[in-house]
Amino acid sequence: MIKPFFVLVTILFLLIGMVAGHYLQYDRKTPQEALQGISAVTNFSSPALSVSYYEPRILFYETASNPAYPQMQALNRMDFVYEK
Amino acid sequence: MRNNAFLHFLTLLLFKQKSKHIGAVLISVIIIFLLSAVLFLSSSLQYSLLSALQKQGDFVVTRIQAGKPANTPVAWVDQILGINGVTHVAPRIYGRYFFAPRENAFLVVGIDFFDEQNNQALQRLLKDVDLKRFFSKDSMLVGEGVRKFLEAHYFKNDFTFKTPKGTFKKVNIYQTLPKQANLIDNDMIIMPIELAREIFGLGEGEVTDITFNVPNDAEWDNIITKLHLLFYDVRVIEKREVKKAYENLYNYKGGLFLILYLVTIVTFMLILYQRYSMVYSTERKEIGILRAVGWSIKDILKLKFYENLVIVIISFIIGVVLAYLYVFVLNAPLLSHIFLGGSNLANHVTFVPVVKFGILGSIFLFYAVPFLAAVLIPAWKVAVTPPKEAML
Amino acid sequence: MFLNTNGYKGWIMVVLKNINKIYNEGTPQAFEALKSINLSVSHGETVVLSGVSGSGKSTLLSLIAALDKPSNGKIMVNGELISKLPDLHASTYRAKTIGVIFQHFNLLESLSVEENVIVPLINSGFDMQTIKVLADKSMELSAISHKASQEVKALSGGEKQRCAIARALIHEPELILCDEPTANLDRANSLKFIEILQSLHNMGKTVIVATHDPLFEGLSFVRKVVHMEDGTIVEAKDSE
Repeated sequence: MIKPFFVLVTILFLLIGMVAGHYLQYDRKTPQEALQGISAVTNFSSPALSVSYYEPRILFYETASNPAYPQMQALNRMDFVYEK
Repeated sequence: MRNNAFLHFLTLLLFKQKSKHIGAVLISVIIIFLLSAVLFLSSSLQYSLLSALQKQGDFVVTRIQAGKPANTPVAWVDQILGINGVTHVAPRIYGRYFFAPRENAFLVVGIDFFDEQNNQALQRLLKDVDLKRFFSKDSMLVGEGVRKFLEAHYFKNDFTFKTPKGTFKKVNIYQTLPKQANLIDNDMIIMPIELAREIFGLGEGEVTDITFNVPNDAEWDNIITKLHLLFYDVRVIEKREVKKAYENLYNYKGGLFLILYLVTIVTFMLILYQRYSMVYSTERKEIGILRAVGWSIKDILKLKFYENLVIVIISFIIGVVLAYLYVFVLNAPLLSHIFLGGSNLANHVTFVPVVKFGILGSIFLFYAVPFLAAVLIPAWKVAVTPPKEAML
Repeated sequence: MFLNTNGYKGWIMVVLKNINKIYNEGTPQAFEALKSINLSVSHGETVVLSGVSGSGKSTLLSLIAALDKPSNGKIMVNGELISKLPDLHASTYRAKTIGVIFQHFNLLESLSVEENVIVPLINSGFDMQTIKVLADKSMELSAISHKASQEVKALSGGEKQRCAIARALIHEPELILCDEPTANLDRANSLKFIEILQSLHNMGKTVIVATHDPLFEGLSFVRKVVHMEDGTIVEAKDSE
């Protein structure tokens, strides 16, 4: 094994070690508690989709939310546009 | 190991011919990076949403009229409470408040602050909520995104809502909801239920929907039947339904990306295959020379296999590590917009690191096998031709 | 092993019996490059195959080197029948018994001289230390040690050839085959090559040189000059 390759392998191992360190050290509890707190208070666990006013913001409460594209407005919401 | 001649020659060739490999490594890194970034992001979202879902009520009941959700009578609360096995029935008013000047919208949620359950949950969430002070004037709790938006529009301490009656309602910003829950509460405003009723112009006896728990999950189907017997125009949303939906959330979208990547990978493999099968390439000559000085076909294939395996592994590690840093350290700028949208309030979500090793393993296999095949098949074809011809 | 019948003291290294080589056999473009070649070379002999280009010298050499297979006939080298060797054995034969010096050198351009020289021994099972010792030895013999760490693409023609010689000698082969070794060299380098050739001869190696360079005529250490024309041996004369 030539030296530059050895150096490269060492760098890659360091990178993996760094990532593994971050992964293992990460504090998952605080965000989880915060999310569960909000969910307990409001009974909402839907992600805060940054969508326009007429698009469904809360998943699955309005029918025909598309799992492929949750932000897309369902057909039964189109009356909002036309009623205007 | 450092004294192994084959290893020495393999690494030597890799480094001396880096210009030959750098293109393949770069493209591999990009493909693997994008693929893993999407998968990291979707698994992190799923993880967070599913953990938030645990604390949500088991059922949500809403009135349906003409196929659309309609306001639910608050009188249903007592009727639902009358069903055996039902606990924590809570009426809820929510809706989106449109801030016309900027065409932005907030999700306003009205809850019963005096409900014991809600009160406890709120105390856990925000350590120092003083209800006395909160109710001394109309107050609300706002999400991080709302706070930033309001601050940018000079609503530092309060915000004036316009009610459907045409009156104005000034509401004090009491506190900001925790930043760590941005994934759910970024555009959320939590306020007392009566205040929300006024802002949305709901009638006295109306709420948006009603949530409740049924601790015994064996009873869930019975409860749904009873609800349908009680009310004919009702829609019941079950937690398990939402859970299933979350499990599928972005999966198909990930799949859509997967198809695109598949096309990219196939194209890339074809290019690789073409490159390695080029009749007069230096690669061909190199194989011919090695054969002429006594390397067998097996030795050649071994060299090419390990050479490209090293390239695949290096690209894979770099791609995955970059994707990890991009998603979980930099919080996926641009890509998070695709998942969470970007047409309303800006949402800065911190993604919780979730790595599904099974998926990573599959990416590796799906990438490594065609890559090695695309390189080894042409190499083998050259290796079996007489060295004299290959060297030409 | 066979006893030499020509009276030369030593074992017969190479025997060719009724060798034919037809390219594109069975097609209208069929071309007979070698016709009924019979030749034997004894151990330690230096033999020159002469003739104009296209006379079949290089084809003959590549058959002896097992780089190609004869259409029919038998080739025995050092007692081993190599005309029908399967790939794995042909590779082992090339890796152990012979060293080939090509007209176009056929070096790996991106590697240095030393790295090129060690190539034949990579799969030999030797460790790097042993291989380096052998490489030093053969580079010294080929007078290219001073350029060991230089990249091949920066070398002159003569240096490239000495690198190719060092590569052909590293595994200490019994038989050395040279295909038009001086075709790409100037006179000075050609003479230097002949010097190296003589030292190989003095070491007791069997050498077969295919060339049309007149420099090789009348060399004292050349045992036999075989003249070829149109794929046949027209004259094989032993030097005195």
